Amino acid sequence: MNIEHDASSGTQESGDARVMVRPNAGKGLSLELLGPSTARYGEEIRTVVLATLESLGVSDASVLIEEKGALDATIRARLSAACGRAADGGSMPWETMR
Amino acid sequence: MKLRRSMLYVPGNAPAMLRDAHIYSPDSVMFDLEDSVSPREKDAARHLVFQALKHYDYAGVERIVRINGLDTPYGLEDIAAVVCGGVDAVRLPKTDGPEDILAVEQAVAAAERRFGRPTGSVKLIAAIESARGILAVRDIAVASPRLIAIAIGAEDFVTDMHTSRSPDGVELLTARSMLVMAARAAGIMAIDTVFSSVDDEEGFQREVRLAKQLGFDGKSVIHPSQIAMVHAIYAPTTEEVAKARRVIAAAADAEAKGSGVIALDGKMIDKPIVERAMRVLALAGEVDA
Repeated sequence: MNIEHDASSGTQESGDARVMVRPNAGKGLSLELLGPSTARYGEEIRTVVLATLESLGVSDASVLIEEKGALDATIRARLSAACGRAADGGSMPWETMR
Repeated sequence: MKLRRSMLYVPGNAPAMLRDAHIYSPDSVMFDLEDSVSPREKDAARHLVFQALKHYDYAGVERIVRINGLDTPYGLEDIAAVVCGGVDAVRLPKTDGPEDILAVEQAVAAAERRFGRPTGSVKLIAAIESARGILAVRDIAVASPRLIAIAIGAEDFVTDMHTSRSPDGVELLTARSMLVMAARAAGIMAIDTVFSSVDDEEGFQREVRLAKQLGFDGKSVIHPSQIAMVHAIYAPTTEEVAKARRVIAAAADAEAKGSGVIALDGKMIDKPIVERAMRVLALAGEVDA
Protein backbone atom coordinates (compact mmCIF):
# COMPACT_ATOMS: atom_id res chain seq x y z
CA MET A 1 0.00 0.00 0.00
CA ASN A 2 1.48 3.35 -1.06
CA ILE A 3 0.88 6.50 0.94
CA GLU A 4 -0.02 8.96 -1.80
CA HIS A 5 -1.05 12.04 0.20
CA ASP A 6 -1.75 13.33 3.70
CA ALA A 7 -4.65 11.72 5.54
CA SER A 8 -5.90 11.33 9.09
CA SER A 9 -8.34 9.32 11.16
CA GLY A 10 -9.68 9.24 14.72
CA THR A 11 -10.52 11.81 17.36
CA GLN A 12 -8.98 13.35 20.44
CA GLU A 13 -11.65 11.94 22.71
CA SER A 14 -10.67 9.87 25.72
CA GLY A 15 -9.96 6.25 24.76
CA ASP A 16 -9.29 7.22 21.14
CA ALA A 17 -6.32 8.28 19.07
CA ARG A 18 -5.81 10.73 16.23
CA VAL A 19 -3.52 9.42 13.53
CA MET A 20 -1.97 11.43 10.70
CA VAL A 21 0.02 9.87 7.89
CA ARG A 22 2.08 11.60 5.21
CA PRO A 23 4.02 10.39 2.18
CA ASN A 24 7.69 9.72 2.87
CA ALA A 25 8.73 8.26 -0.47
CA GLY A 26 11.98 6.33 -0.40
CA LYS A 27 12.79 7.37 3.16
CA GLY A 28 11.25 4.52 5.14
CA LEU A 29 9.09 4.98 8.24
CA SER A 30 9.14 7.91 10.60
CA LEU A 31 7.00 7.80 13.75
CA GLU A 32 6.11 10.46 16.29
CA LEU A 33 4.02 9.65 19.36
CA LEU A 34 2.25 12.18 21.56
CA GLY A 35 -0.10 11.62 24.49
CA PRO A 36 -0.41 10.63 28.14
CA SER A 37 0.52 6.97 27.69
CA THR A 38 3.61 7.45 25.55
CA ALA A 39 6.05 7.88 28.46
CA ARG A 40 5.05 4.53 29.93
CA TYR A 41 3.81 2.56 26.94
CA GLY A 42 5.67 4.26 24.09
CA GLU A 43 7.62 1.17 23.13
CA GLU A 44 4.52 -1.03 23.11
CA ILE A 45 2.64 1.49 20.98
CA ARG A 46 5.58 1.76 18.62
CA THR A 47 5.60 -2.03 18.22
CA VAL A 48 1.85 -2.04 17.46
CA VAL A 49 2.25 0.75 14.91
CA LEU A 50 5.16 -0.88 13.10
CA ALA A 51 3.43 -4.26 12.99
CA THR A 52 0.27 -2.64 11.64
CA LEU A 53 2.16 -0.78 8.92
CA GLU A 54 3.95 -3.99 7.96
CA SER A 55 0.66 -5.89 7.72
CA LEU A 56 -0.67 -3.13 5.43
CA GLY A 57 2.44 -3.27 3.27
CA VAL A 58 3.34 0.35 4.08
CA SER A 59 7.10 0.82 3.98
CA ASP A 60 7.43 4.58 3.43
CA ALA A 61 5.36 6.95 5.57
CA SER A 62 5.58 9.65 8.16
CA VAL A 63 3.18 8.87 11.01
CA LEU A 64 2.05 11.12 13.87
CA ILE A 65 -0.12 9.62 16.62
CA GLU A 66 -1.80 11.65 19.33
CA GLU A 67 -3.24 9.06 21.66
CA LYS A 68 -5.67 9.64 24.52
CA GLY A 69 -5.44 6.33 26.32
CA ALA A 70 -6.44 4.32 23.24
CA LEU A 71 -6.22 0.52 23.38
CA ASP A 72 -4.02 -1.27 20.84
CA ALA A 73 -7.04 -2.30 18.76
CA THR A 74 -8.15 1.33 18.48
CA ILE A 75 -4.67 2.48 17.44
CA ARG A 76 -4.54 -0.28 14.81
CA ALA A 77 -7.99 0.72 13.51
CA ARG A 78 -7.21 4.43 13.34
CA LEU A 79 -3.85 3.83 11.68
CA SER A 80 -5.33 1.41 9.13
CA ALA A 81 -8.12 3.87 8.29
CA ALA A 82 -5.65 6.74 7.86
CA CYS A 83 -3.45 4.61 5.58
CA GLY A 84 -6.47 3.48 3.56
CA ARG A 85 -7.46 7.10 3.06
CA ALA A 86 -3.91 8.15 2.19
CA ALA A 87 -3.70 5.36 -0.38
CA ASP A 88 -6.91 6.56 -2.04
CA GLY A 89 -9.24 3.78 -1.03
CA GLY A 90 -9.69 0.45 -2.71
CA SER A 91 -10.22 -2.79 -0.86
CA MET A 92 -8.11 -3.36 2.27
CA PRO A 93 -5.90 -6.46 2.64
CA TRP A 94 -8.06 -7.75 5.52
CA GLU A 95 -6.48 -11.19 5.52
CA THR A 96 -3.01 -9.86 6.28
CA MET A 97 -4.14 -7.24 8.76
CA ARG A 98 -3.51 -7.84 12.44
CA MET B 1 -29.87 -22.17 19.36
CA LYS B 2 -29.62 -19.40 21.89
CA LEU B 3 -31.74 -16.70 23.46
CA ARG B 4 -31.98 -13.40 21.63
CA ARG B 5 -34.13 -11.37 24.00
CA SER B 6 -31.94 -8.29 23.72
CA MET B 7 -29.76 -7.08 20.82
CA LEU B 8 -27.79 -4.03 21.89
CA TYR B 9 -26.98 -1.52 19.15
CA VAL B 10 -23.46 -0.12 19.40
CA PRO B 11 -22.37 2.65 17.00
CA GLY B 12 -19.44 1.34 14.99
CA ASN B 13 -17.46 4.52 15.30
CA ALA B 14 -17.34 4.67 19.12
CA PRO B 15 -14.16 2.91 20.35
CA ALA B 16 -15.02 2.92 24.06
CA MET B 17 -18.55 1.64 23.48
CA LEU B 18 -17.30 -1.13 21.22
CA ARG B 19 -14.94 -2.30 23.95
CA ASP B 20 -17.52 -2.36 26.73
CA ALA B 21 -20.64 -3.45 24.83
CA HIS B 22 -20.96 -6.86 26.47
CA ILE B 23 -20.58 -5.84 30.10
CA TYR B 24 -24.31 -5.13 30.38
CA SER B 25 -24.99 -8.78 29.47
CA PRO B 26 -27.19 -8.41 26.39
CA ASP B 27 -27.91 -11.68 24.57
CA SER B 28 -26.29 -10.15 21.48
CA VAL B 29 -24.31 -7.04 20.64
CA MET B 30 -24.97 -5.43 17.29
CA PHE B 31 -22.21 -3.19 15.97
CA ASP B 32 -23.67 -0.69 13.57
CA LEU B 33 -21.98 0.40 10.35
CA GLU B 34 -25.18 1.80 8.84
CA ASP B 35 -27.40 4.63 10.08
CA SER B 36 -25.36 5.65 13.13
CA VAL B 37 -22.22 6.23 11.06
CA SER B 38 -21.86 9.23 8.74
CA PRO B 39 -20.76 8.53 5.14
CA ARG B 40 -17.31 10.09 5.68
CA GLU B 41 -16.64 7.83 8.67
CA LYS B 42 -17.81 4.54 7.13
CA ASP B 43 -14.27 3.30 6.52
CA ALA B 44 -13.08 4.27 10.02
CA ALA B 45 -16.02 2.50 11.67
CA ARG B 46 -15.37 -0.59 9.56
CA HIS B 47 -11.77 -0.69 10.84
CA LEU B 48 -12.87 -0.25 14.46
CA VAL B 49 -15.44 -3.03 14.18
CA PHE B 50 -12.93 -5.31 12.43
CA GLN B 51 -10.45 -4.80 15.27
CA ALA B 52 -13.14 -5.27 17.92
CA LEU B 53 -14.25 -8.57 16.36
CA LYS B 54 -10.68 -9.75 16.02
CA HIS B 55 -9.20 -8.76 19.35
CA TYR B 56 -11.84 -8.17 22.04
CA ASP B 57 -13.23 -10.95 24.19
CA TYR B 58 -17.00 -10.55 24.44
CA ALA B 59 -17.31 -13.43 26.90
CA GLY B 60 -19.52 -15.51 24.64
CA VAL B 61 -22.00 -12.74 23.81
CA GLU B 62 -23.12 -13.10 20.20
CA ARG B 63 -21.54 -10.53 17.88
CA ILE B 64 -23.71 -9.21 15.08
CA VAL B 65 -22.82 -6.41 12.66
CA ARG B 66 -25.39 -4.31 10.84
CA ILE B 67 -23.78 -3.66 7.48
CA ASN B 68 -24.64 -1.11 4.84
CA GLY B 69 -26.81 -2.39 2.00
CA LEU B 70 -25.21 -3.83 -1.12
CA ASP B 71 -26.77 -0.95 -3.06
CA THR B 72 -24.33 1.41 -1.32
CA PRO B 73 -20.57 1.80 -1.98
CA TYR B 74 -19.88 0.30 1.48
CA GLY B 75 -21.77 -2.99 1.68
CA LEU B 76 -19.30 -5.36 0.02
CA GLU B 77 -16.27 -4.06 1.91
CA ASP B 78 -18.30 -4.23 5.15
CA ILE B 79 -18.93 -7.92 4.50
CA ALA B 80 -15.25 -8.59 3.76
CA ALA B 81 -14.14 -6.87 6.97
CA VAL B 82 -16.62 -8.49 9.32
CA VAL B 83 -16.37 -12.00 7.88
CA CYS B 84 -12.58 -11.78 8.12
CA GLY B 85 -12.91 -10.35 11.64
CA GLY B 86 -14.92 -13.38 12.76
CA VAL B 87 -18.48 -12.02 13.04
CA ASP B 88 -21.21 -14.42 14.17
CA ALA B 89 -24.03 -12.90 12.12
CA VAL B 90 -24.55 -10.14 9.57
CA ARG B 91 -27.67 -8.03 9.82
CA LEU B 92 -28.88 -6.66 6.51
CA PRO B 93 -30.92 -3.43 6.72
CA LYS B 94 -33.85 -2.48 4.48
CA THR B 95 -34.57 -5.94 3.12
CA ASP B 96 -37.30 -5.64 0.48
CA GLY B 97 -37.30 -9.13 -0.96
CA PRO B 98 -35.57 -12.53 -1.05
CA GLU B 99 -33.24 -11.27 -3.79
CA ASP B 100 -31.59 -8.97 -1.22
CA ILE B 101 -30.84 -11.95 1.01
CA LEU B 102 -29.53 -13.99 -1.89
CA ALA B 103 -27.15 -11.19 -2.87
CA VAL B 104 -25.79 -10.91 0.67
CA GLU B 105 -25.55 -14.68 0.97
CA GLN B 106 -23.45 -14.80 -2.19
CA ALA B 107 -21.12 -12.07 -0.92
CA VAL B 108 -20.82 -13.70 2.50
CA ALA B 109 -20.07 -17.10 0.95
CA ALA B 110 -17.36 -15.51 -1.22
CA ALA B 111 -15.87 -13.85 1.87
CA GLU B 112 -15.91 -17.16 3.76
CA ARG B 113 -13.92 -18.75 0.93
CA ARG B 114 -11.53 -15.80 0.73
CA PHE B 115 -10.78 -15.84 4.46
CA GLY B 116 -10.88 -19.58 5.01
CA ARG B 117 -13.97 -19.68 7.20
CA PRO B 118 -16.22 -22.76 7.03
CA THR B 119 -19.05 -22.40 4.52
CA GLY B 120 -22.26 -21.36 6.26
CA SER B 121 -20.54 -20.31 9.49
CA VAL B 122 -21.69 -16.70 9.13
CA LYS B 123 -25.40 -16.35 9.87
CA LEU B 124 -27.79 -13.72 8.55
CA ILE B 125 -30.50 -11.53 10.05
CA ALA B 126 -32.84 -9.57 7.78
CA ALA B 127 -34.31 -6.30 8.93
CA ILE B 128 -37.53 -5.41 7.18
CA GLU B 129 -38.36 -1.72 7.07
CA SER B 130 -40.85 -1.16 4.24
CA ALA B 131 -44.34 -2.12 3.13
CA ARG B 132 -42.76 -4.00 0.23
CA GLY B 133 -40.57 -5.95 2.63
CA ILE B 134 -43.46 -6.87 4.90
CA LEU B 135 -45.50 -8.10 1.94
CA ALA B 136 -42.52 -10.27 0.93
CA VAL B 137 -41.73 -11.43 4.46
CA ARG B 138 -42.77 -15.07 3.89
CA ASP B 139 -40.31 -15.38 1.02
CA ILE B 140 -37.61 -13.44 2.85
CA ALA B 141 -37.84 -15.69 5.91
CA VAL B 142 -37.06 -18.82 3.85
CA ALA B 143 -34.59 -17.22 1.42
CA SER B 144 -31.45 -18.67 3.03
CA PRO B 145 -30.55 -21.44 5.45
CA ARG B 146 -28.19 -18.90 7.02
CA LEU B 147 -31.11 -16.79 8.27
CA ILE B 148 -31.51 -17.05 12.03
CA ALA B 149 -33.94 -14.18 12.51
CA ILE B 150 -35.98 -11.48 10.85
CA ALA B 151 -36.44 -8.10 12.48
CA ILE B 152 -38.75 -5.18 11.99
CA GLY B 153 -37.34 -1.66 11.70
CA ALA B 154 -40.21 0.59 12.65
CA GLU B 155 -38.96 4.09 11.92
CA ASP B 156 -38.44 3.54 8.20
CA PHE B 157 -41.56 1.38 8.04
CA VAL B 158 -43.93 4.01 9.45
CA THR B 159 -42.38 6.62 7.17
CA ASP B 160 -42.99 4.33 4.20
CA MET B 161 -46.58 3.88 5.43
CA HIS B 162 -47.15 7.67 5.63
CA THR B 163 -47.79 7.49 9.36
CA SER B 164 -45.85 7.80 12.62
CA ARG B 165 -45.32 5.76 15.75
CA SER B 166 -47.95 5.92 18.47
CA PRO B 167 -47.85 4.72 22.09
CA ASP B 168 -50.07 1.68 21.44
CA GLY B 169 -48.30 0.80 18.18
CA VAL B 170 -51.50 0.23 16.21
CA GLU B 171 -49.73 1.33 13.02
CA LEU B 172 -47.28 -1.57 13.42
CA LEU B 173 -49.68 -4.29 14.50
CA THR B 174 -50.25 -5.89 11.10
CA ALA B 175 -46.58 -5.73 10.14
CA ARG B 176 -45.44 -7.14 13.48
CA SER B 177 -47.98 -9.96 13.28
CA MET B 178 -47.05 -10.85 9.71
CA LEU B 179 -43.37 -10.84 10.57
CA VAL B 180 -43.77 -13.10 13.61
CA MET B 181 -45.95 -15.50 11.64
CA ALA B 182 -43.37 -15.69 8.83
CA ALA B 183 -40.63 -16.31 11.36
CA ARG B 184 -42.57 -19.09 13.07
CA ALA B 185 -43.44 -20.71 9.75
CA ALA B 186 -39.76 -20.62 8.73
CA GLY B 187 -38.55 -21.84 12.12
CA ILE B 188 -36.42 -18.74 12.80
CA MET B 189 -36.59 -15.94 15.36
CA ALA B 190 -38.48 -12.65 15.26
CA ILE B 191 -36.89 -9.52 16.70
CA ASP B 192 -38.86 -6.38 17.50
CA THR B 193 -37.87 -2.83 16.64
CA VAL B 194 -36.03 -0.30 18.82
CA PHE B 195 -37.80 2.04 21.23
CA SER B 196 -36.04 5.36 20.92
CA SER B 197 -37.27 7.29 23.98
CA VAL B 198 -34.65 6.05 26.41
CA ASP B 199 -36.16 7.97 29.36
CA ASP B 200 -39.68 6.60 28.88
CA GLU B 201 -39.30 3.34 30.81
CA GLU B 202 -43.02 2.79 31.13
CA GLY B 203 -43.55 3.15 27.38
CA PHE B 204 -40.61 0.85 26.70
CA GLN B 205 -41.90 -1.87 29.02
CA ARG B 206 -45.38 -1.62 27.51
CA GLU B 207 -43.90 -2.13 24.06
CA VAL B 208 -41.77 -5.12 25.17
CA ARG B 209 -44.84 -6.77 26.74
CA LEU B 210 -46.76 -6.26 23.49
CA ALA B 211 -43.91 -7.73 21.42
CA LYS B 212 -43.60 -10.71 23.75
CA GLN B 213 -47.34 -11.32 23.64
CA LEU B 214 -47.28 -11.23 19.84
CA GLY B 215 -44.61 -13.92 19.87
CA PHE B 216 -41.40 -11.95 19.29
CA ASP B 217 -38.27 -13.63 20.63
CA GLY B 218 -36.61 -10.37 21.59
CA LYS B 219 -36.05 -6.73 20.90
CA SER B 220 -33.34 -4.51 19.47
CA VAL B 221 -32.29 -2.03 22.17
CA ILE B 222 -30.36 1.21 21.93
CA HIS B 223 -29.36 1.73 25.56
CA PRO B 224 -27.86 -0.64 28.14
CA SER B 225 -30.55 0.36 30.65
CA GLN B 226 -33.16 -1.32 28.43
CA ILE B 227 -31.50 -4.76 28.62
CA ALA B 228 -32.50 -5.69 32.17
CA MET B 229 -36.07 -4.51 31.53
CA VAL B 230 -36.39 -6.77 28.49
CA HIS B 231 -34.94 -9.75 30.33
CA ALA B 232 -37.24 -9.18 33.30
CA ILE B 233 -40.32 -9.11 31.08
CA TYR B 234 -39.23 -12.24 29.21
CA ALA B 235 -38.37 -14.07 32.43
CA PRO B 236 -41.00 -16.66 33.38
CA THR B 237 -42.60 -16.48 36.83
CA THR B 238 -41.65 -18.93 39.59
CA GLU B 239 -44.99 -20.68 39.09
CA GLU B 240 -44.45 -20.98 35.33
CA VAL B 241 -40.99 -22.48 35.91
CA ALA B 242 -42.29 -24.93 38.52
CA LYS B 243 -45.07 -26.07 36.20
CA ALA B 244 -42.69 -26.36 33.25
CA ARG B 245 -40.34 -28.54 35.30
CA ARG B 246 -43.22 -30.88 36.15
CA VAL B 247 -44.31 -31.07 32.50
CA ILE B 248 -40.77 -31.91 31.37
CA ALA B 249 -40.42 -34.48 34.17
CA ALA B 250 -43.72 -36.10 33.12
CA ALA B 251 -42.57 -36.18 29.49
CA ALA B 252 -39.26 -37.78 30.51
CA ASP B 253 -41.12 -40.30 32.62
CA ALA B 254 -43.41 -41.24 29.73
CA GLU B 255 -40.43 -41.62 27.41
CA ALA B 256 -38.61 -43.83 29.93
CA LYS B 257 -41.67 -46.06 30.10
CA GLY B 258 -41.89 -46.17 26.34
CA SER B 259 -45.31 -44.55 26.52
CA GLY B 260 -46.52 -42.14 23.88
CA VAL B 261 -49.03 -40.65 26.31
CA ILE B 262 -47.84 -37.99 28.73
CA ALA B 263 -49.99 -37.46 31.79
CA LEU B 264 -49.76 -34.90 34.57
CA ASP B 265 -52.21 -34.58 37.46
CA GLY B 266 -54.56 -36.90 35.66
CA LYS B 267 -54.57 -34.82 32.46
CA MET B 268 -53.09 -35.56 29.06
CA ILE B 269 -50.20 -33.35 28.06
CA ASP B 270 -49.94 -32.49 24.36
CA LYS B 271 -46.70 -31.96 22.46
CA PRO B 272 -47.20 -28.17 22.19
CA ILE B 273 -47.41 -27.97 25.98
CA VAL B 274 -44.09 -29.79 26.28
CA GLU B 275 -42.57 -27.42 23.72
CA ARG B 276 -43.87 -24.40 25.64
CA ALA B 277 -42.49 -25.83 28.87
CA MET B 278 -39.06 -26.27 27.25
CA ARG B 279 -39.18 -22.64 26.12
CA VAL B 280 -40.10 -21.51 29.65
CA LEU B 281 -37.12 -23.41 31.07
CA ALA B 282 -34.87 -21.96 28.35
CA LEU B 283 -35.99 -18.44 29.24
CA ALA B 284 -35.34 -19.28 32.88
CA GLY B 285 -31.81 -20.32 31.91
CA GLU B 286 -32.34 -23.91 33.04
CA VAL B 287 -31.86 -25.54 29.64
CA ASP B 288 -30.37 -24.49 26.32
CA ALA B 289 -32.82 -22.58 24.16
